[in-house]
Amino acid sequence: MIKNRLFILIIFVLFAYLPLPVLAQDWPDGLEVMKRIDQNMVSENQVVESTMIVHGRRSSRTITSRGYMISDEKSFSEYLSPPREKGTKMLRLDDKLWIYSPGTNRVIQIAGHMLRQSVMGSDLSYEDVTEAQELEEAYDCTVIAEETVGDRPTLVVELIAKRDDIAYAKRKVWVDSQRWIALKEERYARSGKLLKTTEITEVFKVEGRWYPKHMLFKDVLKKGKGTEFIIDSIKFDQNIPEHLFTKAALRK
Amino acid sequence: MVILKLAYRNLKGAGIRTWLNVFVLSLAFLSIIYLKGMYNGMQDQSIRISEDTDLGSGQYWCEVYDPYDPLSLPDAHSIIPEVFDPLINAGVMTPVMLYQGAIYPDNRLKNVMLRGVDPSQGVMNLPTAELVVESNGFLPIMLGHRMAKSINVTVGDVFTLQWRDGNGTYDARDAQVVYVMSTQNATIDIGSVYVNLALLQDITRLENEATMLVVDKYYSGELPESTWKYQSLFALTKSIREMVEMKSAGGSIMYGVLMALALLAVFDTQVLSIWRRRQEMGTLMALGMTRTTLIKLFTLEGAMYGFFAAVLATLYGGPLLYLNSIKGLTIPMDMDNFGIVLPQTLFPAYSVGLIVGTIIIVLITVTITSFIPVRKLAKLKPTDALRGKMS
Repeated sequence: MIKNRLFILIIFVLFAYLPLPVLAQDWPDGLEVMKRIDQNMVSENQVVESTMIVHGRRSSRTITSRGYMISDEKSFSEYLSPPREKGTKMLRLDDKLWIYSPGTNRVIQIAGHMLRQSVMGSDLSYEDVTEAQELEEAYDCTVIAEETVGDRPTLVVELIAKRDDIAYAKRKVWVDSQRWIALKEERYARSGKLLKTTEITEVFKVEGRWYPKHMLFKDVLKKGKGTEFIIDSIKFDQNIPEHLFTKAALRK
Repeated sequence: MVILKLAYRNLKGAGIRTWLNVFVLSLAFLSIIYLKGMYNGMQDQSIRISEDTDLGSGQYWCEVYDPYDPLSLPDAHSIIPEVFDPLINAGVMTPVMLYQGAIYPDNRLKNVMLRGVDPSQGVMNLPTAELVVESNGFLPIMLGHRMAKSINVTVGDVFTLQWRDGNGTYDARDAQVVYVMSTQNATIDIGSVYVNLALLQDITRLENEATMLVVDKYYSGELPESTWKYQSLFALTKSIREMVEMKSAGGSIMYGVLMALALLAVFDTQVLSIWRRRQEMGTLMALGMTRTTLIKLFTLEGAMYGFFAAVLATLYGGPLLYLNSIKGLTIPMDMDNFGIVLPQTLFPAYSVGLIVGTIIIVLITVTITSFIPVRKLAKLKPTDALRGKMS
């Protein structure tokens, strides 16, 4: 009897410590998951109207903007409100970023340590804005678990940087396994320290794609409730004039 | 000689009026010497402190480094050329790496400059040896007292330090303040976090790289040629000299006003003196004194104000300035945080050139001021003067 119990215990312990992938061979390939996300999200271009709510220590600020994006290479955004930020424009061409402030009527290139500054006091830094998003190329993607986020079933994909020159050494993405949209993301430093989190609390379907509606960005090292980002409207594959992505367009 | 005696006797006879003029002029004298001495002292001390704690007798900068171009800072590091190895090993030079990072004391973001320094170095007068401690797995860091105060941390406090390594990957670790140093050099204090150079090279994956090499201030031997640019102490302290020059120019307005007040008093006295002493002038001319001698007499009287002022200033100002040069002028703590090299206690530097130069300038100015109202004596007729008329 005792022998039988011992045998059961050994079997239990062995199974408990078996690597998860061995137990879950039916999980899809991590790369496949990331490609499914891209199929859902990536378009030739996008025109987005959004609201950013920056939660400060004492109060919150709401900033609305309109953005034009061509794949991951170019983007142009203009702040529409509040009056203090109205007319501020931002241009990104690959990894270069310029900002135009109507108050000073000057175009400034954001570079060096300025890239670490937050965008309009939010939890997003200019570096986050300029970062290229080709995750499959930069990371080895592995599905490591199945979890539920909110009431949605998700696959947890671990992304480990393939090269030394990738901004984050490791990321974890929780992907809705039915809608193929990321619902949560964690970004880690090389030392393994958690740096930033993104949570998508609401999604919506537009032109046949599932897209994030309400996001919460959080710089984990900083105090505060984070920054909410709400997509008010989004249009895909629009006819965006090329001259918008020039420095001259910032002053117009 | 006669007119010298006469001038002295006339001044003495004027009594309190003379001594008031002399006193006002002596105050202007002292103020000019004091202010100039303070500016000279500030410049000397600032350069000495910079040389001692930061600049050495000069620096070699890596090819990309330009402290006035923030865009160059992320790439401002490269492998230390081998040609410097003998001087580094001899302790004549020490490498320093400047690297951008961010700290999160009390979970608030603050951008900082990480300064990688060799703990065993003796080139810069900094307590870098304090960086060699066990800090329970934390990254040991040292701060200046201004920086520690501004972020409200003290020895033993732990907060997160974040940076992007040489390849651009984010990294972060918890750092512990192991030492807070007190330095008079605010430029190497505010916004700076000191890290062991070897550790900084390791965590940034920039092995054997540095931003600059600081040369010992006592080294006077030959310096090797390299692709790294050599910056002499004179070139490195240009901004300090420019700042003091600018301050000095601002200060000259103040002593210009003081001098103008003193010279106005001398001018008024001369005008009044000529008016009141018409008959005396007529008598002197009737006795055979020429107009030129008369002009000389009155100009000399005016110039003697300057001379007496110099003597009086030496009598009561000398001990005051001497005391000030020993005790110095202590600046309140808050004034010390301008991000410039400003010593806590300013010691004025009075050179012989400064004192003699000021005396000569004041004497010449007083003489010219005295001469201007006296010019009209050139047309004076003795008969008119005797009758109390000025033509």
